[in-house]
Amino acid sequence: MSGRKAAPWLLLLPHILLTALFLVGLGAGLVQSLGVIPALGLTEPTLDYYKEVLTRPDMLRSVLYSLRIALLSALIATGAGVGICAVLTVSRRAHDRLVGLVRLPIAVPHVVVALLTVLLCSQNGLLARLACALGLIGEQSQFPALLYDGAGVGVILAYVWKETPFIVYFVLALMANVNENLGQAAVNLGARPWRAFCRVTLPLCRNTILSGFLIIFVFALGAYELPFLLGATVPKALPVLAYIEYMHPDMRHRPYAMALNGIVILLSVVSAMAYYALMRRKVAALERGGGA
Amino acid sequence: MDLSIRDLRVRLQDTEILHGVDLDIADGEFVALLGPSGCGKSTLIKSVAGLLDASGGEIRADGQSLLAVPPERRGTVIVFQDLRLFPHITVYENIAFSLTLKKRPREETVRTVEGLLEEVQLPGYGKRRIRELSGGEMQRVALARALAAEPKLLLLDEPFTGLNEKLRFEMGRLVQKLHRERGLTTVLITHDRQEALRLADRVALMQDGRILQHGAPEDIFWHPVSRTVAEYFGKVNCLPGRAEDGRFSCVLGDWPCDLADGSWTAAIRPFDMHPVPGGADYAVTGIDFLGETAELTLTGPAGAVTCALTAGALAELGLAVGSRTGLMADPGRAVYFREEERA
Repeated sequence: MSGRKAAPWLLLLPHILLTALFLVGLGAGLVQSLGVIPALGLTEPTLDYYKEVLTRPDMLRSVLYSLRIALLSALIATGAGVGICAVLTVSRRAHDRLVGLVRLPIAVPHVVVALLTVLLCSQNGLLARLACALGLIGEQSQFPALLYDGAGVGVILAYVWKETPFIVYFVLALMANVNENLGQAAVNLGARPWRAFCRVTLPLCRNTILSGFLIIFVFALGAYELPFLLGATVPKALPVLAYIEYMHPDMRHRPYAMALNGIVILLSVVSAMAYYALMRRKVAALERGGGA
Repeated sequence: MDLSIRDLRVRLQDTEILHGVDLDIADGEFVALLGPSGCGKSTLIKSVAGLLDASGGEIRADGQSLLAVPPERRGTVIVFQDLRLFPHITVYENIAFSLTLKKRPREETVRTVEGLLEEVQLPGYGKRRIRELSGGEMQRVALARALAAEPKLLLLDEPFTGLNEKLRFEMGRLVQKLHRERGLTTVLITHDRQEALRLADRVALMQDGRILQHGAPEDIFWHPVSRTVAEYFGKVNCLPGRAEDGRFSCVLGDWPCDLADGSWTAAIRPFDMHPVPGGADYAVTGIDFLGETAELTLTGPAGAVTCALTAGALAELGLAVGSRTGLMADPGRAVYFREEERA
């Protein structure tokens, strides 16, 4: 192979290595979820671990809890992020240095976000103290229990704080660009700025917004830190169940952890497929001329 | 719409792009805004349309200041250079965009859009997607969309860029026809001087954020106010000389003039310079054969001079590179500049 032909492959090498590492890890996890860990003397593949995990009495509640957290976090963060982008775009402030501040939380680790949420939203937190000091509530224990609750309010709040800036980061540049060109053309044709935004800019950013939503949804479905630190004792989110099984002193619990991970992967894949089906419909509608 | 621009200044990212533009456009007039790339033509029409803020000066339409009027209410519609058709909706929906904003009844909208598609010679194209159209078709749709918005002032920002010569000519004629039939006031930005001279009632030449000259095509061509303007509209031969007692004298001879005494430069177009058989002062150092016409470069006492003549005349003279000839200037259409007048 000549140097010229090899160059793209060499440039891709870091990415190929990382992808290979990820696929090997994924494969090893799936093999372990089928109960094959030769080091522990487990060599026969079986679906028993999946059966046991799926028939656990708390399983359905955990699945619904995880889906609820992921869906609401992604919906609220996407809505808020798009709202911020819209205001910045229409007011033509998308290139201000202030936008950097909006994006700052992206760099904050999830564990730190969990601690901030505890400091702010717990019944001993700043908000509870403030409400008490202002006389809105009699004592701090009357402050709504936002953390460690079965509804996952604390987890969702933390995700929204962390992921809204991600949506801003993901969508703003494109949205500002579309609005500068096609949005400007719509205004020139007589549309008020917000009308131009809603009729032209927003529909043309829909794919990117949906992609951002899906990234957050799948991340929130699979991440364990926030539900582990801020979630309820019961139900537990799926990644938390997997983490507990993984950390079990008896190594033979490892296949249960991997089976739970398998279920999370399945849910993510189903979500991704639903997303792509949605996108295909959207593209087909565009091709038919149905508009956005 | 009667437009009056006075001392307009526009800054973009701390750089002043327009340095005090003055321009008057009468109602129903077709004005070509001509100038090299980057001279501020697009900035000027975007400022008129309210898409860019003026940092100084005044824009008035029918006597009323436009500066405080939001862009969507100015009635100044641009056909952008990159067209900016909405890719997520059909041709019909693109053209109907401004009509739906005005909440026109559906039947009226359908009638208007179909009428406009007929006018731009794209009947039956309503259901097509934008990406299914050719470059020329897209430009027609952009024109129809702009006309649907019932512009008081139609601003065309080099909309024919990228078209081949034939399509460019056809689009120019179409715009001119629609301008006349609809009684529009139109500004066409172009850097094609022939297009400007052919289509417009008046031509404004811009350079470096200023209007150098504004006038009827014949006027700006025959009476340029500076050597820069003269050179923009084609080759000129510049002959330095002196005016004294109503006569101008230079290396090619002397002739009557109406100039103050002093040093002047006579600018003479190549088709007013003629090779003279029998003479030998000038050598033919280059021949550009252009089909119907030819351009000769003659080198001699006046330096390198360009003459334009018909291909037939060239054949009759039997000149070739290396031949020698005389040279005569027809000074009747010469324009004179002081050297410092070069803008």
